[in-house]
Amino acid sequence: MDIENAYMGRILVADLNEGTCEEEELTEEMVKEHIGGAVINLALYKQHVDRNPIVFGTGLLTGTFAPSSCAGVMTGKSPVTGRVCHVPLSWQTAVELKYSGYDFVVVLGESDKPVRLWLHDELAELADAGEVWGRDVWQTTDKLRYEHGDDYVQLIGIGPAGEKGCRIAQISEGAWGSRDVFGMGLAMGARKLKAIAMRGLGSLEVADGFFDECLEAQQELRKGASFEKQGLVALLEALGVDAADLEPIKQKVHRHVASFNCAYAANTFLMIDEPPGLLKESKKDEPGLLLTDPAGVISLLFLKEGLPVVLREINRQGLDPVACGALLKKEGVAEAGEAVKRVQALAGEEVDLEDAGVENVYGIAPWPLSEALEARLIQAVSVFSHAVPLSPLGGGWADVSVGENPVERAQWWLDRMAVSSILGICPIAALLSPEFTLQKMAELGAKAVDWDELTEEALLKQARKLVQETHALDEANGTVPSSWASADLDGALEKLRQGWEG
Amino acid sequence: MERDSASLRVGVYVGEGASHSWTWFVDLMEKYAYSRLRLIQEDDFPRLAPEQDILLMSGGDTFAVARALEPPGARALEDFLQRGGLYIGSCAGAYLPLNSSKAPLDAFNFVKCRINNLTRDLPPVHQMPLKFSTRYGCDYIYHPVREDVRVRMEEDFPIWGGREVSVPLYGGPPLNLSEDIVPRAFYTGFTERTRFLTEKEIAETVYLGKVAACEKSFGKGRMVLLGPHFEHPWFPEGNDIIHQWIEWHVHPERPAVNTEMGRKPGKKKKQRVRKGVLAPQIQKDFKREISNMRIRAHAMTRQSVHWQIGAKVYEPEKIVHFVDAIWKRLEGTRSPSSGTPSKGLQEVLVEQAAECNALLKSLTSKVDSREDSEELAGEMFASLRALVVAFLGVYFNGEEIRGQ
Repeated sequence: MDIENAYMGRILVADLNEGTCEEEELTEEMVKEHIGGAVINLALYKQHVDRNPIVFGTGLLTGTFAPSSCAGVMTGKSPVTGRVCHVPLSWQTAVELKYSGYDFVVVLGESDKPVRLWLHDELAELADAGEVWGRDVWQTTDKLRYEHGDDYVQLIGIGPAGEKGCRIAQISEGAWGSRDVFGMGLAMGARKLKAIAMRGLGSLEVADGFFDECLEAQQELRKGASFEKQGLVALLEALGVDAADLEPIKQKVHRHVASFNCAYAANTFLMIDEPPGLLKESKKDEPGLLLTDPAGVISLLFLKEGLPVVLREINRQGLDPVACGALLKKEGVAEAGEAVKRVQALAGEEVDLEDAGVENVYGIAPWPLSEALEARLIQAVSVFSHAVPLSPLGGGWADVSVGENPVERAQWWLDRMAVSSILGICPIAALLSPEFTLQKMAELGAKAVDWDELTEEALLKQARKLVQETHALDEANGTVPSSWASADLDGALEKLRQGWEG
Repeated sequence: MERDSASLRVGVYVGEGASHSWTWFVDLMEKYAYSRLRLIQEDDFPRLAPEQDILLMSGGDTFAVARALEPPGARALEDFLQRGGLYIGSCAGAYLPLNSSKAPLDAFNFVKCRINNLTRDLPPVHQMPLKFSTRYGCDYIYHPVREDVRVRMEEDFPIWGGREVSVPLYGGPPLNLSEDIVPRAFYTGFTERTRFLTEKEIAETVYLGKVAACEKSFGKGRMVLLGPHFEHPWFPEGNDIIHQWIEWHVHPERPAVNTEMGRKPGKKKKQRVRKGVLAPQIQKDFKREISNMRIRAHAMTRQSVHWQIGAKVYEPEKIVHFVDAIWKRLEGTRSPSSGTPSKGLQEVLVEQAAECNALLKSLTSKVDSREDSEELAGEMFASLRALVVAFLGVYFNGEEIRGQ
């Protein structure tokens, strides 16, 4: 195995109590045992469980030529649900992490003063974050990029919501939110960890023939029907959102942007303070916002024309747009100006969605379009972020050779998410491209590191082990909400669990 | 002169007027294991003859180099040559010893040979206007092409004779034939990578058939002038030509190098560079400063900015280049113990890096706010050059750090 084709070989352990950064070696044995990504995250989580760690990790293929190899994963215990969760990182974040010289970062303990991590060129520095503590996500991003002199510095950070103990605080990847629906922004805030800034000028070795194989795979993916379109709006249409509801967004679309090496441009930039047809650089500091999270947009659609400005404020405050949408709707706040003010206030409140009467907020609510049993099953397992759509994108279930059995459908989704989180494949791309089979992903992984034993079967085995072990940690904590209990759910969940053991 | 090429004492001029390309000569010397490498500044010239066997003069600002060396520097150079020294000058290093009537260049009238890129009337420039020409009295020295050109080694020359190679040209001279020189290579053509700054026909007239490399004997010594940068690290054939030229100079009695077509270039020698010279923590502190500079410098290359320093135009890419000259050698500097140079010396290196980093940060800030940054850029480049010189001094020889 040529591990240097996939990993930098370093694990960083940042102890916030001690203010230290120590390096450990990511060994070939670890990769052989766990493959990568979320499975290694979980192993590191268990290793340090008495310090309530947060683990940031990269997949085996993250940052390689493999299609959609933009993803990483954050693993930790949600301060809201008490469950261990795996939050996907996309955009450029995980790629930057790996290229900064660290494959995995374990954050231990809590600091007594605001701190930030600066990762660059195989160096890790825990620095004082006094200058950015109290600043919103955008200000923090700007300030740290200025401090390090490079707009390509990527960040995982929090806004005022995470600092102030808000339970719907979200981590933000750069300026544009994330798929964290587990309140991990609060987890970072409680540790007084304001941000992890990363800049990587490193590089990976490339196996003979790997580039050509990736290029071929990418070209194959592009033949798929989904790739005739682009942008987040098209994804929402594929999910069945009413076209009329999307009209206010469509009118503001400026451009579509792909995450690192993704064949599908899944992010859409909206112009707010400038005409959407603008073809020159705006003189305004930030004239719009990037939509990255379909779940958040769905939750806020009721705001109609007001959606972009409210979502912009949600991003700045470092809040979960899914939860904000549910809460604003429950409170009947639909006017944009009023909603912006409410969002600003929310960042300073503890916010308990169950107390607020928001139904199933950590269950089915983010996806109001579907209450199908498979969707409830997925969320009952609650290992991966349900800000990622809970079904195949593009052609739907018909495209992916899975029948109507909800247990099989849930298992298909869990397998896709788990494998993506292990290899570092964008979870949206994994749902969008039935052509990108698990077998193909395994082949690319095997080719990348010259490791014949990485087969589809081996990958699936690790994927199911990941779900099972993460889920088992949840059960140990006794955190499955009783409100989810129902005859059909309980029976199906049991069948699903039996499948993992089989 | 020493007969073992590995023990040759090689000086690379890094003083006033030298641009970043001197680091290419350093790369080349390291590649071929010339381990007795010294970075020479203007005040080292009085000791040139007794202390060096070879002097490498790279590109830069010819006027600034001549001004810095002054007539005593020219006399030291002559003495060096008379006593058997080998001078290899590329680009500005090739212009420097050409006859000139203009001070301060007139102190360096070693070679009676005219350049073919002198004009009173500049043709229209199509791109890179700042790189196109330099004022020379009432005339202009102009550069119709940049980047790769093809040159053919002279048929009877024992080094790569009759073979054609690509080498990069960044303002170096096309020379006219003269009885004063022995031509060794001629410009023969352009490549897909050649950038034409003016009409192709003009470029053809200026370069094709003109001398790209030549030499002239002085007493026991020799002067080698190269228009293109044969020393550029991306051009291994050019590198090998320089290496073999040195070998040939040192061992003229040996059979001529086989120049049959298809013969493999001379073998790269095993590197014999001193390593492990910095204590672990100091190496880490130093690396941190260099990494922060590297990130900042790379980011600056995405901005449209340049600075006129002396007669030369500097872009952010040159910052990257200097920083990378340190960066690529850092891994070899970490010593398992306290390191060879004194701890105080090592700490000075870290302080120097921190100061340079602070200057770069201020420069970034000025550029971002669109303030005039030329003076600060000059200060930063001087600091950066001094830092690279200091680091390489420690890297190669564990030498004392020179003042800025």
